Amino acid sequence: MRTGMKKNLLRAGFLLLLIVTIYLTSSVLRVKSGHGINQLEGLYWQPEHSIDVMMMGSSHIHCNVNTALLWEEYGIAAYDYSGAQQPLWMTYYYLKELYKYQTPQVIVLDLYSPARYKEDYQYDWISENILGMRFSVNKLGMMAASVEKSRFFQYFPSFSIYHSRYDDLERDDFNNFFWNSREKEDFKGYTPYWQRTPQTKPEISETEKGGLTEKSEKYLRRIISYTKKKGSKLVLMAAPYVLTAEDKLTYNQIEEIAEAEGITFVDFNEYYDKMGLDFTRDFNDDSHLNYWGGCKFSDYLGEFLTARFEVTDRRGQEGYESWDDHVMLIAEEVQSFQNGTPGQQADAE
Amino acid sequence: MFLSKFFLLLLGMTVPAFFLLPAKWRSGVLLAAGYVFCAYMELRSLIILIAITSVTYFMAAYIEKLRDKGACKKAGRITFAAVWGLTFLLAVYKYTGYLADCFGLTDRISERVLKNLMMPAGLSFYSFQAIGYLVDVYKHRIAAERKFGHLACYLSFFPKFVSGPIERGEAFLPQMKKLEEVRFWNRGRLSAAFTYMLWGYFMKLVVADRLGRLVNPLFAEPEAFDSFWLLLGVLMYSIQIYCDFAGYSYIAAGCAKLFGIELQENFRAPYRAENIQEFWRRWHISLSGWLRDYIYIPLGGNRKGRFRKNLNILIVFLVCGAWHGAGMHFLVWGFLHGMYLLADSLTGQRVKSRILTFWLAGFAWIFFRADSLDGAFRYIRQMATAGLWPERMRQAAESLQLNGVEIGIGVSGIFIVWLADRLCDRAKMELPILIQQKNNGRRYLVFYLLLTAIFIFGIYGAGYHTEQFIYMRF
Repeated sequence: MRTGMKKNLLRAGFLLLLIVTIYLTSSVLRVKSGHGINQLEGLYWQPEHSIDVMMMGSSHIHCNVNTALLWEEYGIAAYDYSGAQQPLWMTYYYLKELYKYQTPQVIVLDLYSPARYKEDYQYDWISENILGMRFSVNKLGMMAASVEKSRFFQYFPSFSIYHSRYDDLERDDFNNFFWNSREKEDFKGYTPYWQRTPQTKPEISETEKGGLTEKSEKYLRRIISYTKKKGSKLVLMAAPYVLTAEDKLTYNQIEEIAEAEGITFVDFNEYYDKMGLDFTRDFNDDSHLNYWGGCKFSDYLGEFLTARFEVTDRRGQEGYESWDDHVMLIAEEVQSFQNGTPGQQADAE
Repeated sequence: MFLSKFFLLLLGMTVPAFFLLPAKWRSGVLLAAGYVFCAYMELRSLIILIAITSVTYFMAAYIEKLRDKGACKKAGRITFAAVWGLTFLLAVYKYTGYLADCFGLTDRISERVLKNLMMPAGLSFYSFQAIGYLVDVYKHRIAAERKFGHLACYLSFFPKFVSGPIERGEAFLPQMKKLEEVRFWNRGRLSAAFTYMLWGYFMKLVVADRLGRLVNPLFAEPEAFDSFWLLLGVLMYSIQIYCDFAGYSYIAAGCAKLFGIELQENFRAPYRAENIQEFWRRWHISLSGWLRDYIYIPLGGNRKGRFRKNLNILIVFLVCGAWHGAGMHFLVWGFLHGMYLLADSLTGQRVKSRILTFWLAGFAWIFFRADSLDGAFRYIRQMATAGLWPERMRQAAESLQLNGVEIGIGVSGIFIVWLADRLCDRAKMELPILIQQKNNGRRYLVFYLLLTAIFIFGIYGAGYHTEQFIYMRF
C-alpha cells in the first residue's frame, strides 16, 4: 500500500475513533432528568409523525398527564413534551423543534408557569429545559430568548456542562445509545409522582384579569400564530393544582386572549369535583397531582379531547406498538411502587 | 486566557487573515491581533504598550546612531537612562498600590488614580523584552529594527503577550522578516503546533486546574487541616504551578507555530533537577536567562570574587522575587532561592538529590502561593504543629470533595506528566517534539488519548470558572 494512502487511512481511523468516543461518552455523560431533559430528548426517539396530541408546558404536564392512560382508555397517541417551570419563550422554541419531527393534530399547552413566574429570565430549572435539545438554530434562538448574554456560556455548549459527570454515573446512564432506541421509544414523557400530601381545596372567585408579563404575552401570541400556521389545534389550559387568586388573575387574562384568538381555554381547576379529585389523597404537593390524581385528571382530559377534537384512536395500528409498551412500563412503575420501591419523587415545579 | 472565548475567536480569525490576505501584510495582521487582544483586556494597557513601543523604537535607533558615530559613552548613558526609565515605570505600576496599602494611604489617593496605577496587561513581560532589546542594540548584538511594525509585533505578539516567554529580539525579530515565506499547509509545522497545544491544554486543564481546586482551600484556611494535608498541599501546589505555567508555555508555543514563529523553550523538566542551580536552568528558562544576561553578568557575575558572586546571586533572586509581584512574600521567595544557590555554591554543588531539590523548591512555593508573608508563616506553622489526625484527614477529604475517581484522575495525570518529563529529560527534547518523532500510528494514538482526556477530564465549563493562569498576575 502506498505511504500516502496508508497515512490517509490512519487519519480517517483517528477521526472515526474520536467521533465514536465522543458519541459514546456524550451518551453516557449526558444529564438524565425526568424534569424536562428526558422529555425533550425522548422526542427524538419517537417514530416520526406518530404523535397526535402533544402536551406542552411545565411539570404540570409530565407529572399530571398520564399518557399511558390516554392510550389505554382513549387510543390517544399523546406525548408529554414539557420541562420544569418552562416559560413560554422556551415553549415557543420547543414548538418549532417539534414540527421538524411531528405533525400533531392537537397541542395542549399548560399555562401554570406564566401565571406563577413573572421574571423575564428564569434560571431555576433552565438547564432542565435546555440540555435535552439538539444543537440547532432553534436551540440558539431559545437560548437567546432565555439567557442573558453574560450567562450564555454557562449553558452552552451542553457537553461543557455535563462532561464532568463521570463520578456520578448510574446504571441508566449506560442505556442511552442508539441500540437502545426501542426502549427509548417507549418513554412518552410521563413521570408520575407517588407521595400523598393532603391539601386544602381552594375557593377562588377572582374575576379580575391581569398579571401576564409582556414577554409571556408576546410569546403566547407567537405560539398561537405558529400553531395556526402549522394547522394544529391549540388548547390552552391550567391543569389542576392548589390554585391561588394571583394565578387566577392571569388565567382570566389568558382566557380573554384565547377568546379573541378563537382558541379553547380550559381552567381545569374549576372541575375538581367533576373529575373526582380527592384533596386528601390525590396530591403529591400543592403544585402537583400524584399518580392517582393524575389518572383522574388524565381520564377527564382524554374524554374532553376525544369529544372536542375527534382525536384519532390509534390502538392496534401499525407503528404504535411503543404506546402499548409504554402502558406496560407505567404498569411496572406502579407495581414497583406497590412493592415499596418508589420511582420519581417530587421536587420539581 | 487560552480558554477564553475571545482568545479562541481571535486566534480563529487571525489564522485565516494571516494566510489569506497578501503575504506582505502578515506582520500587520499579527500586530493588529496583538493590539486588539491588549485593547480587549484594557484600553489603557494598549496606550501604554504603544507608548513604550514607540519610545523603544526611537531610542534604539538613536543608540545605534550614536554608536555608529563613535559616541559610545553617550550611547551608554542613553541606554542606561532608557533601561532605568522602563524599570522605574514597571516598579511604579507594580508597587504603588502595594506601598499605598502598606502605608495606609489608600484612602487618601483617589480611586481613579489607583485604578490608573494598576499593572497594565503584559507589562512585566514586554518591558523586560524592551530592556533586553535596547541593551542588545547598545552591545551591537543586534541591529536596531528599522520597521516599527516588526518591533511592535515583537513586543505585542498575542500568544506570548500576557505570560511570556520573554523572547529575545535576536531570536524573534529575524522571524518577522521571514513571515512571507510561511505556507499554511506545512504538515510538520501544523502537526507540531497541534501537539504543543494539546499537551499544554492537558497539563493545564486536566492536571493544574484539578490540583488547584484542592490547593485553594488549603491555603485559604490552613487551620482547618492537619499536617498531612498541608504537606500534601505543598506537593500539589508545586505540581500545579509547574503544569499551569508549562502548560501555558506549550500552548503559546503551539499558537505561535501556527504563524511559523518559534518561541523559546521555557521549561525543561524542572523537577528532575538535582540541585537548585540546575532547577533554574530548567524553570522559566526565558526569565532566568534574561536575569543572567541583563543583571547577573552586568553586575560582574562570578568575575569579581566569591563575595561579589554571592552578592550578585542574592540581588538577582531578590529582583526575581520583586518581578513576580508586590509583597514581602515574593521577596522572601526570591531570597530563599538566592540562599539555596549560595548553599549550593558553598558546598560546591556536592549535594545532588532530586527529592531534596523538589522539596526545597516546594517549601519556597509556600511563600509564592500565600497571599502574604503572614499567610505563609501561618501555613508553615500549622503544617509543623498540627500533627496527624485520622479523623481530620477524613473530614478534610470530604470537605475537599475528594472521591476515588477524582483521586485516580489526579494521580494518573501527575504520573503522565512525570513520565513525560522523564522521557524528555532522557531524550533531551520537549515532549511535543518527541511525539512528532514517533511513527504516525503512535502519534495519532497519543493525540486521541490526550484529546479524550481533555474533553472528559479537563476542568472547564459551566459552574466552574477555570483557574486563571497563575502567571498572568505577574
